Amino acid sequence: MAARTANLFVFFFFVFIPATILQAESQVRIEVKTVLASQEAKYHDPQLSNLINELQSVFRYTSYRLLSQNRLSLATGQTGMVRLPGRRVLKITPAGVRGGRAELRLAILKNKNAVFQTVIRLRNQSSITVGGPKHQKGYLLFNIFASY
Amino acid sequence: MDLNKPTATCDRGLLNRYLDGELEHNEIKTIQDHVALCEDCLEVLKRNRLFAGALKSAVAREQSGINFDALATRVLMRRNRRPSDWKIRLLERVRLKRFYIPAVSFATAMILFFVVYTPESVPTSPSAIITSFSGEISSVTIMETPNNRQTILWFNEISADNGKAHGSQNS
Repeated sequence: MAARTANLFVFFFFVFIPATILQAESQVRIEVKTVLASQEAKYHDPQLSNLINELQSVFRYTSYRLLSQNRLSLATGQTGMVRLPGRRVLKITPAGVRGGRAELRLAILKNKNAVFQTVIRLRNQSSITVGGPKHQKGYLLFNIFASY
Repeated sequence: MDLNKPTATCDRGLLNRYLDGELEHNEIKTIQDHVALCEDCLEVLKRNRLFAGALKSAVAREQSGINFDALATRVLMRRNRRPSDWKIRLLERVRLKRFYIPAVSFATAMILFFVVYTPESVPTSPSAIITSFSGEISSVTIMETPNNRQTILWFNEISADNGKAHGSQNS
């Protein structure tokens, strides 16, 4: 009985936990915030306070409204999709982690046509904001945060 | 003082010392002569003898129930007994607490201070490096926020209707 317990203990600490950690490390956790920036009446979404502080140093929009928030956990080579306003789709594919950065392949599709594709190398626990598509009376911004 | 006659100042202290056997030979003779003549002192002497006898017998009775040898052995054993190991360790820990509780508190306070008040370091590189881009776009602008070097990638879509770019940057 004692030997069996010891074997379980060894398996748990030397096999199960390292395997779990390795599995977790090979996954890239991604969060996509879709924001509508415009020059409408002043509105700062409270969920975007940190992001707005950054964006205001570059843009002069008066309204920042969070439209949606999506979380993905993707393995290398796995593609995740996020639905965007205006029949657009954002496809994200992690291509690996090198030099402390996660390489992500991004593709924005509209009506199933790729309108913009890029490859970025994102620092761990950091984000990039991709913007440009016009929507309603403003522009769409996609803040993509990655951690691994 | 002449104790051979009864007086108002009969020496009760001398009587007590006589009773306790503390008098010199000549004093014993004097007190015996006095008591033979003084009824008051004789009465006091008898009463004190009675009381002393009762007290002695009571003490002797109480002492007879005590095993002094066993008591002495127990006292000696208790004096010679050393505290057990776990007691020693406990005492050492209590003594150590006087040092390490303030030390740990101080260290915790310092860590909290540096965690809360140390300004976040500015990243030394942009959050993202753009390796490539392509698509139905008229222009691309890559920016970086001054505070945290957060990368912003702005593209202007070509309108499907007239082939003109309709995005606009607002900086």
